[in-house]
Amino acid sequence: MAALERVWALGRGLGTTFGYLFKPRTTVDYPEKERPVAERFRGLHILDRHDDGLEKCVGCELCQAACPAHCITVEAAENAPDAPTSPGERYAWRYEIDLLRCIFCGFCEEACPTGAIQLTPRHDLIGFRRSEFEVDKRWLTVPDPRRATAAGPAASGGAGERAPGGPIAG
Amino acid sequence: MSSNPPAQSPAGARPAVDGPRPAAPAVSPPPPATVTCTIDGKPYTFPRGTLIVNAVRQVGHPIPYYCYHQKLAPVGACRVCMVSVLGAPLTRPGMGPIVTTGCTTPVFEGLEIETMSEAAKLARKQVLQFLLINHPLDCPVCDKGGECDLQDFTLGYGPGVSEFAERKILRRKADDLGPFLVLDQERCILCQRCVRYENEVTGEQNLVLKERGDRTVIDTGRGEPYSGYFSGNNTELCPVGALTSRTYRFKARPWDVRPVATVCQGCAVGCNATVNLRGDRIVRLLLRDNPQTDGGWLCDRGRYGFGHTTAPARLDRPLIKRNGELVAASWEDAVSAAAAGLRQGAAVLGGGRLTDEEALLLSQLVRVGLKTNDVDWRVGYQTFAAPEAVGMQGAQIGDIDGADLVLLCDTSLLEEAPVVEIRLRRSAGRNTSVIDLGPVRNFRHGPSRRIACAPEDLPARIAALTPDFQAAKSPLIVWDGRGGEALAEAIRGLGARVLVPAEFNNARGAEIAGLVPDALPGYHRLDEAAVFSKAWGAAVPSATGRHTQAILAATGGDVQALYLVGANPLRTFPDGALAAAALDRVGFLVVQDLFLTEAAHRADVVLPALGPLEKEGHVTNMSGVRQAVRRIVSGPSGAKADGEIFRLLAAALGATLADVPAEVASEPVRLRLPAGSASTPPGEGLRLIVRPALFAGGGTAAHDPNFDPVRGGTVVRLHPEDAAELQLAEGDAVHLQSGGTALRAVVSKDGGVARGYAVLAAHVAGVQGLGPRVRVAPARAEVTVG
Amino acid sequence: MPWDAQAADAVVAKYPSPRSAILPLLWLGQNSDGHVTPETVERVADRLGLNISDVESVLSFYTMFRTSPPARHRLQICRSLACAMKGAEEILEHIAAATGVAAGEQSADGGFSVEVVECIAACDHAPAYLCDERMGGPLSPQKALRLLRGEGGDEQ
Repeated sequence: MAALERVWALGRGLGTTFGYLFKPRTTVDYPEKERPVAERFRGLHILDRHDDGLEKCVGCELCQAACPAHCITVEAAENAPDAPTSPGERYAWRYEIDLLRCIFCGFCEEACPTGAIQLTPRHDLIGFRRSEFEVDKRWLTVPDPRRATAAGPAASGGAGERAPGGPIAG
Repeated sequence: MSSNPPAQSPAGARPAVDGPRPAAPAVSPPPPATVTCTIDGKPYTFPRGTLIVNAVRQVGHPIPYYCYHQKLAPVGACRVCMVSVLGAPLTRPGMGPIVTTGCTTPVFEGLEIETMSEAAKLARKQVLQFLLINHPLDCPVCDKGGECDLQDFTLGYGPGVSEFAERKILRRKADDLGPFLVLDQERCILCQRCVRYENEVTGEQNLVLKERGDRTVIDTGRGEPYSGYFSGNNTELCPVGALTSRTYRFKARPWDVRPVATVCQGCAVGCNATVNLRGDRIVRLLLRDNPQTDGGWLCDRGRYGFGHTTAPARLDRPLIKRNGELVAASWEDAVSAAAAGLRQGAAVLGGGRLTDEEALLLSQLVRVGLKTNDVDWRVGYQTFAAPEAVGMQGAQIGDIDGADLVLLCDTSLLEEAPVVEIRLRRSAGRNTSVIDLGPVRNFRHGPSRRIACAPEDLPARIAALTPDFQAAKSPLIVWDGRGGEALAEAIRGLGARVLVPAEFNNARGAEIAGLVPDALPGYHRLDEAAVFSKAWGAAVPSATGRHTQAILAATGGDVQALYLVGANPLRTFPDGALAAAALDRVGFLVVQDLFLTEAAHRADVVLPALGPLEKEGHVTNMSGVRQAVRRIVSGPSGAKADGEIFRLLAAALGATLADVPAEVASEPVRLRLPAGSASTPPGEGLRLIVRPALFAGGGTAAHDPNFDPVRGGTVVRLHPEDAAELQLAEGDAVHLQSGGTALRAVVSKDGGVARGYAVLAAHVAGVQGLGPRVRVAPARAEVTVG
Repeated sequence: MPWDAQAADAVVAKYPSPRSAILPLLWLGQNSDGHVTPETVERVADRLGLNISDVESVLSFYTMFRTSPPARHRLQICRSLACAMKGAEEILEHIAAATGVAAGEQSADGGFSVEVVECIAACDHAPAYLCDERMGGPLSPQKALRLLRGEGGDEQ
């Protein structure tokens, strides 16, 4: 009797396991496949550009002021009038984020008057050394659309490969 | 100021300025000194003449304003300081309150002020909306963003949105306005603080309003660069981001700088300033009001003189001469080499740029370490720092305010103590008469009685002024100590207080510390050497030492080694030929400085020192006020503070330095002055005189990258008629020839120079090598002859 | 014409403070040279003990001072309310179409210039104009072109 009960219990347990074979999977083959994130998910940062290729960031440092984790460092400089980096007189020659310190609160995005700093859905924060998480302008800035259309994204170099969706710095 | 009885219209009278003004004509009965009025329902009492804008701020109901400024006369241009007022004669009986400007209306008896009435709030809101019609909203880019009155007041009192959808008028942006300023005409709200500042305060008058109506802009008369010594104050006066500093451009935002209070050590005025640091870098200096010294302004040399802290040319390791070349060495090697070389027959020159504490350490090092009194801080034209030390009565800088007669004795406050000139100009516009004596016009921006005379005639001319001084109630003499005993005697004869701008910023501290050959610290006689020996625990020599001239003349003889502390006699000593010969002759030369100066190139050991913003201590200003200075930046890692170097040297020489000065009760000694020349130098050509110039030379300014735009080449100033006779135009290159030496210079015509003189700036390389007379020849002719 | 020092002294003598003489002295310069030259500004500043910037400031405020040599014929057309409603703008457009010279410009040969001015107090003659300092109106496109050719001067 007792033996029969044990077999029943075993069968019932295996049945549950077996039953999942026919249910939809909840895991995905990460990193080959990714689950969609919530629409307002705040992941890794980018520095955006205008359509004409100029950087949106004007180096105003409001993100740095707003950052509760003090992980942003911005230093500004004056644009060369004949070859400006951003519209107007001022651009950020230095823009660094310590991603290990960042709490992904999105205050920088809210503070930004030009919509330059944006938090993307990307969240693959991987690295082997601390220094890999101290990202600079090259890492953050999206590819220049003018250069991308001229020579293709692959040839855009630098910032291009590191844009969201691409491999992280390593 | 209003002499009307109170019942009549104070509004019709000229608005009062806060602060002293010429005395009003006597009226009887005199109106009471205070008036009582109500502000937002509560009664308050103010001194008569207080402006509403100040009254409401004093009681904690501030209103916004742009054009008004505490240090300027009111003008009523911006119309933002609107308040509701009720009370005759502004309003008639039965009439309600009216809205008026608080900056041009003084309070009067029975006045009722409402700062937050609906009418006043609406008026302010509308004015702010008008001000923003053409103002670009580029606050994230603007250097003023974060400390901008327009931002703050618009947020506090302005409308949330603008009703103006029209396009903004575009004007010149990032306009290059002279060496230190950047002008953005779009951001200007035409408050005219800058224009008024230049008219009322400095007299430099570069900026004016041009055009009219909506096209009005601030600009220089013909678009020429801003020229003047006080341009930087405009950046602090400007309530918006129209006038900004080039050195601060985009360097930081107001919220990421750390303010540290300090004292400017560019000259001996000791202006108070606030250094703004971003990280460990100085990004700007702001003024910090101290009525005793600066009176609330900074000159451009003080404001922008911080570039030397990060200048690439700074010395950051000791150097020792090996096989005729200076090579880097460790501190141990350099100090022991220096000590070994200085052990026999050493003399010390310099010290006018140290802190008080360091000067005292050097004074001890000389006496107990080098066992000599051959020490002198006077390596330039100045013969003394404290008037008390040469039997004169000293004056405070603030005494200029109350003086009724000021004699400028061959001394330009503008070049030697710039901020004091602002004070003199303010007094000169009221009830101070200025006598401007000497071969070059000293007082350029105010009224004066000009007496042109040769340097050797100064004593006679001064003696002739005795009646003026006897008639004056509180006369004052400004003399930088150039000349000698004859001139000093003439000045003593006038019996007035004397203000002495110093050639080196802490000359007075050096003198008190005993860096002179004929006195111990505290101006004590050398006979007190025994007392000092006891206090310092080592023998102090009591024989009188030699002054600079004698030391330089004795090099190669019994002065076998020379220790130059922050001194470069090649640039500063009037007899340049002697200085050059002395440094060539001397057996062993140690130079302690911030930069590799001409003297350092000839040194056997070069010791890198920290600069004025890089060490702690006190400095004594030209009128004897002691002020603390702090270490704000760390300076080059391999450099050491002068005081530390003195201790290292003392240890290497087997001496220890006491930390406290000796307490001695004896009569202070009177310093000996050189006799001074009483004859006109013979010979042909123009008479060469060398006078201080603000941006020329200087221990740090000469190497400061921030001053690159103003340093320019060597400029020789000539009277326009002399220039015409020599067929020279403004800007012509010339050769100044004197004996066997020549110097290339650029001509500047200056009506303030007496005829027959050629004026060069002091502390510039090559200037001191020329003789007392020069032949001025066009540079082109020189090429064809040579 | 050279600067008339005597005339300048006479002007200065009329005013209690030197500053007040800026405008008449500038007129003096403009009347003798046709426009206010930089030398005139310097002389005025020097004569009155003022800064050159001060004089430049006043000079730029008043639109009736010229700082460049005038054209042979100057046509100034009023564009204030009455004149604008009576077609001043159309006349300006006509001139621009016919001659290629827009308001505020001078013809390439220096023969004429076209300017717009604010109300010249002749609304009853709208659109009113000033041709070489003489007032007239109403102006028609054809008449404007005649005036520019120097064939005007037939009225008032």
